[in-house]
Amino acid sequence: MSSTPRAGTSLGSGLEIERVFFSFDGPKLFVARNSTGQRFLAVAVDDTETAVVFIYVPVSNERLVAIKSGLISLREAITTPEGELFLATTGENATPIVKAIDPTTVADNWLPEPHARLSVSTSTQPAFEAAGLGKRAASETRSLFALELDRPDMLRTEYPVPDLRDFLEDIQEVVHAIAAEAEDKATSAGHIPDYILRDSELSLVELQAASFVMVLAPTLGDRMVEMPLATASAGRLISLLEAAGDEDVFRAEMSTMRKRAFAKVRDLFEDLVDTNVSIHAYLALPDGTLRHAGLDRVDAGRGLRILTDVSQTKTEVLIERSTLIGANIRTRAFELRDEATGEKYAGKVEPAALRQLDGLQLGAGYVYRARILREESFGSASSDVKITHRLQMIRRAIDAK
Amino acid sequence: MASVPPVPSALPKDCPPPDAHAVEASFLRFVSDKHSIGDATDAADWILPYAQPKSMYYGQVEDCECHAHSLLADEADIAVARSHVPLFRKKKVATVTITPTMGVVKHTPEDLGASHHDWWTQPPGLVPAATVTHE
Repeated sequence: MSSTPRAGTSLGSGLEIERVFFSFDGPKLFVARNSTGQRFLAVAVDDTETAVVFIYVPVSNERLVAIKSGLISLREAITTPEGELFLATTGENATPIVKAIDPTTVADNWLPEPHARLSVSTSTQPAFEAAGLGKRAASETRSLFALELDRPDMLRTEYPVPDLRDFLEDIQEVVHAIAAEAEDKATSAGHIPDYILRDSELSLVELQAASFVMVLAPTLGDRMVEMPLATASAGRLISLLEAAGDEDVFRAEMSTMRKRAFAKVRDLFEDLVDTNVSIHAYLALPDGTLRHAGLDRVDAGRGLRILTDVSQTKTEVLIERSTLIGANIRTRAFELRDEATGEKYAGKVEPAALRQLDGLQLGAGYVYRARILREESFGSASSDVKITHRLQMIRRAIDAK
Repeated sequence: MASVPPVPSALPKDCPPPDAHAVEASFLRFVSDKHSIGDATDAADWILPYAQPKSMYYGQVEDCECHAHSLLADEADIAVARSHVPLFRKKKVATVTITPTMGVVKHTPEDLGASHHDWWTQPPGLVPAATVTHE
């Protein structure tokens, strides 16, 4: 590796570059380490005819992980350093400078943009590689199913537990429902036979970066070999995600699906749309075969509209006068009461209605017109019919048109 | 203006690397902020890292990558570099079109620049015709 700027005592001796994030005719954003093990994040901020100017920020291991994963922005790393901040220059014909500077005096044009964050593999989670999944499936002689979730508000290998719970439940329910169809045991309601639930159950094997990848596998339990049902069902799910990119193909694919699986796929698409997630799904088989399908936010939105159009279990409910009992923009939850019938409705708010909901008053005295999508869905392990509600529109009653 | 230093008589052994290849394509390069849009670049914009006194690579004639110019193929990577590395916010960007007679390139992606390429010019030390196209 190349030499670092001429370091004075402030940066310690034996400074060596350890990791380069961006090099252009030489490293311009990198991590260097001195002989005592102290690491510095270094970024090129300016140059002259004879020298390049760098800011060196001392970083602990924990701080470096936070910077590399994007938890701390590059700008924050400089403006709120753990220790002294240093200015250093490189340049054969320039007078070398290494001096401590006050972080509050760093000019704005010497700071990275506020949104500039790294998103590189850290030691907390290994980085996901599709080819690696295929090799791993072959070496472990089992199928592996990886789901990569990309959410614009998530910059790290972290995911909100409620959203993750909903997503994993959606995936498992789709796989169960598809498995029931594959076994010719598809029913609209009622429980799915135990052996199908057992043989199509998935287990979480590992989390990887970035930003958030779950590696799943058919549950082995006390069996020595995996049953093929979960893998086959995951394969069908990959086909569905592939098809969602083309409206005609998706309609054709969904038209072959029975009521329960249809509702489960719709639940999955609703969650993807509600949480603004792009998804990449990978299925690696023990023979090393790797399948992949990706669904971006636009495809997910179009897919959900198609699913809603052709759903046989939906009812649209228009409430002329309702009272808002509760609403949470962050969790996208709502509850309201129909003033005419006294019936209560609770569920999720669709993205288009979130803006309408923001700032509305709760409780008596505030009357709203609302449109709600009522959907029936069916649990895998019971005969219960589950009713879900999605708030599609809400306006002040006086404003309603 | 800086002068172009003498070109070594030979490149290091196995340089350029065998997986570098000839192309016919346009690339982007950060150049001096003294230019205006439409200007031709000059020799000072094409000093190889081993010969650039202010580079960390200065004098490293045995290192193959120090004999290559950095280029980006994707304009989006220009914006990423500028947002993360303040030095590049003041630089202009030139477009250079490389033909197979002008040397070989190798795709060398960076964490912050997936379209980064190294270019070993033919002949070594070639100052190509390039135009400043971006502020």
